[in-house]
Amino acid sequence: MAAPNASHDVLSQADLLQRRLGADLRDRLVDSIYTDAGILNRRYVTVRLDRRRDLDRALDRVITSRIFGLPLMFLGLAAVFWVTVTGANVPSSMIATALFWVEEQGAALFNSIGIPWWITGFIWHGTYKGMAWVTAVMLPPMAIFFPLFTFFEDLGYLPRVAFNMDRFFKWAGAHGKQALSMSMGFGCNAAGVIATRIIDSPRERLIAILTNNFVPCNGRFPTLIMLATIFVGTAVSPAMASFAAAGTVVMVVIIGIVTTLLVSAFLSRTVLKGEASSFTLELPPYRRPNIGRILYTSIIDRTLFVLKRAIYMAAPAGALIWLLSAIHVGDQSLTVIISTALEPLGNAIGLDGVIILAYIIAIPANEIVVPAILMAYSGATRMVDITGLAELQGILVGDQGWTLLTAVCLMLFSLLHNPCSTTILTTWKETGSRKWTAVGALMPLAIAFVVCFLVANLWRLIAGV
Amino acid sequence: MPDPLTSLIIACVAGFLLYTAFRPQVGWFWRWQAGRVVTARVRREDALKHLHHQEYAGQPGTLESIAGVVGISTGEAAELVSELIQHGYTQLEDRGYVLTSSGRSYALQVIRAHRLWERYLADETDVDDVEIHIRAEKAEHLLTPTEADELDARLGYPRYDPHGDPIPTSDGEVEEETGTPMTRWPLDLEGRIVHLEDEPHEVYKQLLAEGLHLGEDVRILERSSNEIRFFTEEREFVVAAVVAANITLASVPEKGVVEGPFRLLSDLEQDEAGVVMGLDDACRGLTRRRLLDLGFTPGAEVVVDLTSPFGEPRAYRVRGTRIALRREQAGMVLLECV
Repeated sequence: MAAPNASHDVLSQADLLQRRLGADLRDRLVDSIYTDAGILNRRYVTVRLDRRRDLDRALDRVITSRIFGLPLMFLGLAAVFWVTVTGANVPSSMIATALFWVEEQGAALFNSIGIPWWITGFIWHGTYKGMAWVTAVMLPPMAIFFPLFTFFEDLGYLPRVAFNMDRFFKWAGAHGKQALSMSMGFGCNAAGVIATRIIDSPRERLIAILTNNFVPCNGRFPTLIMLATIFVGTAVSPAMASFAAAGTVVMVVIIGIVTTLLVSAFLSRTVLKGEASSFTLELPPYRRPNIGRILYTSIIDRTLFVLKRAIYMAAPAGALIWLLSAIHVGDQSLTVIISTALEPLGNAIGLDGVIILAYIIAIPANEIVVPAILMAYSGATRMVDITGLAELQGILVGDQGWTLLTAVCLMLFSLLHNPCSTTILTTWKETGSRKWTAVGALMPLAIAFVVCFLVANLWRLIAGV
Repeated sequence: MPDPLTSLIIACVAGFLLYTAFRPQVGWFWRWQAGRVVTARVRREDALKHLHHQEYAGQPGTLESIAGVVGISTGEAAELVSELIQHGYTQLEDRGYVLTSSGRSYALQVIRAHRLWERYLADETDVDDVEIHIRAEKAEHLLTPTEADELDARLGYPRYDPHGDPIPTSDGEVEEETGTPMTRWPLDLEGRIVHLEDEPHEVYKQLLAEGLHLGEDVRILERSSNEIRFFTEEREFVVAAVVAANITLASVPEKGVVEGPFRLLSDLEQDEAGVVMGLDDACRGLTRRRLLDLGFTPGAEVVVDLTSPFGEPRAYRVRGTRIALRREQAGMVLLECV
C-alpha cells in the first residue's frame, strides 16, 4: 500500500514548493499556457477570411446600437408575450374541458360502485382537480413560451440583451446576465433561479436568485390578465378593451422590473456588500438555431420538468382546498372560519380574508389562486369551473364588492408576494443556504405587504372612503 | 375598519422604530450584538496582540496601555493580566509586562489569523479596504489554527497582507520588516511603497482616501517638520508628517514587473487596437483570474469591437473571441504604448 503514502508525499512536496513561489504564479502559468497555444496555433492553424464573421459584426452593430438596441429588444419581448397569451387560450380551455370531463366520469364511476362520498371528493374533486387545473393553466403557455425563449437562446441573441441592459444592472450592483434569468422567470421563476447559473460572480448570482420572483411567471399571468380585463378593460370602450388590458399587464411587468432593480440595488449596498464580484460577458457568434435541440431542451428539460414539480405541489393543495371546505366545525366550513379570521389582515392591505387564505393555499402553485378564491366565495365544496369573464365579473364585483382598489392591490400582491414552494425549494438547492432561502421567501412577502398597505391606505385617504 | 390615516401613522412609527433598531452598524440591535461579542477570550487575545506590538516597538506593556487598547478600566486590566500570568503568557519585568515564549506564539497565531483573513478579504471578496481591517479584527478571534492553515493553503501561501505586513508562518516565524518610513527616506531617490500601516485607523483611512497603494513608486520633493511633498506616476501629493510616518518605502528593484508608460484598455476608442502589457496590480482575486483565463495576457492583441447603447460595457475582440467588460475591468488592463 505505497500509493496513498506516495501521493501524500507528492502533495506535501507540492505544498512546500508552492510556498517558495511568488504570488504571481497564476499569472505566469496562464501566460505560458497561452504562449504555448499561440506557438501551436501559428504552426498548424491557417485562418481563412470568414464572411460570416463580417455578417455577425454588421448584425451586432444594429442590435447593440443606440437607436435600435432597446426598441428591438422590447419588441421581441412583446411579441413573445403576445404569441404566448393568444396561442395558449384555445389549448388551455380544450385541456381544461377534457380533464374536467375525466373528473366527472371518475367521480360518477366511484359513486356508482358505492364508494363513500368523502373518498370520491378527496380524490377526484380535491387532488385530481388541483392537478388538472395546474396542467390546463400552465402547460400550453409553457409549451409555447419555452421553445420561443430557447430559440432566442440558441440563436445567440440573449447575450446581446445582457450587453444592452448591463448599464441598468451595473447601477443596481447586479450583473447584465440577470436580464436573462429574468426573461426565463417570465416562464417560471424556478427555471429562472436555475438559469442564474450562467452568472459566474457569486454576489450578482445571489442577487439574481433573490429577486427573480419579481418578474411574474406563467402561473401568475392568468391572474393579472383576468384582473386587467375585468377591471381595466371594462372601464374603456370595447374597441380599446384588449389594448387597455394588455397595457395594464405591461405596466405591471415594468413595475416588477423596476422593483427588481431597486431591490437589487438595496441588497448589493447592504447585506451583500462586499461579496466577491466580477463582470465578464462573452458574446459568442450567432448560430443557426437547431430546431431539434430547441424542442428537446424546451419541452423535456424545461416544460415537463417544471410541470412535474408543479403537479407534485398542486395535488396536495387541491386536496387541502377540498378538505377545508368539506370539514365543518359547528355549522361553518373551515374555509369560512379561517377567512373570517384573516379578514382584518386582508383588509389592511386592500384585499380580504378569502384572498389571503387563497394565497396561503396557493403557496405550492400560484395558478390555483383564482380558483381557490372563487371556491371560497361560492361556498361550494370544490373548485368551480368558470366559463366566461362576465360570470366572473358578476361574482367578484356584484356579489363580493371588489373595487378597482381591490384589483390594483391584488395585482401588486400577485406580482410581489413570496415565491411558490417550487421556487423556494429551488433557491435552497441552488444557494445551499437556509439563510438566503429564508430571505428569498420572506423579503418579497414583506415588500408585498408594505406596498399593498401603503397603496390601500393612501388610496382610501385620498378617495375618502 | 380602522381609518386609513391612523393606520398610516402607526405604520410609519413602526417603520421608524425598525429602522433605528436595524440600521446597519449604528442600529440598536447591532450595537447590542457587538456588545455581546466581547468575551474574555477576545480581551485576552487583544491584550497579547498589544504586548507583541510593544515588544516590536522595544518597550514593555503597562496596565494603562493594555486598558487603553482593550477598552477596559485599569482595574479590569489588572485582573486580565493576572489571568494571563496564570496561563503563563506574560510576566512582569522591571519596566512592565513582556511576553513569554508561549505568549508570543499565541499572539503570533492571532496576528496570523488576522493578516490571512485580510489577505482573503482583499483577494476574494469586494469588501472595501477600510472595512477589511474591521472584519479581520473580529475574524482573528474565531479562526482556529487549523482553519488558518487551510486558508493559507487555499490562498497559495501569501507572504504579505494587503497593506504589506508579513504574515507569520504556522511555525511562528515572521519575516523581518524592511524599509524606511517616508519621514526618513532621502530626497529625490525613487522608493517603492512596501507597507501602509493600518493603525491608527483614522490615519489609514486618510492614506486610502489619498489613493495610495502598495507597489507604487514615489519620489520625495520636499520635506518640512510637519509636511511632506512627493509625487507618484499619477500625481503630486502633500501629506502631513504624522500620516507620512505610516508609509514605509524600500528601494525599487532593478527591473520592475511592469515598466514604462502604458495606456488603459478603457481609454481606447471604438475600433482601435492595442497590445496587452499586463494587468494592474490592484486587480486581484476573482477578477484577475477571470481576465487571465479569458486571454488578457501580455502580448495579446485587443480591438474595441462593440459599444453598448449606454456607452458601457464595451465588447473587445481578444484571441478570436469577443468579451464584454465594464469600464472598471477594462481599466485594469494595461496596454503597450505604440
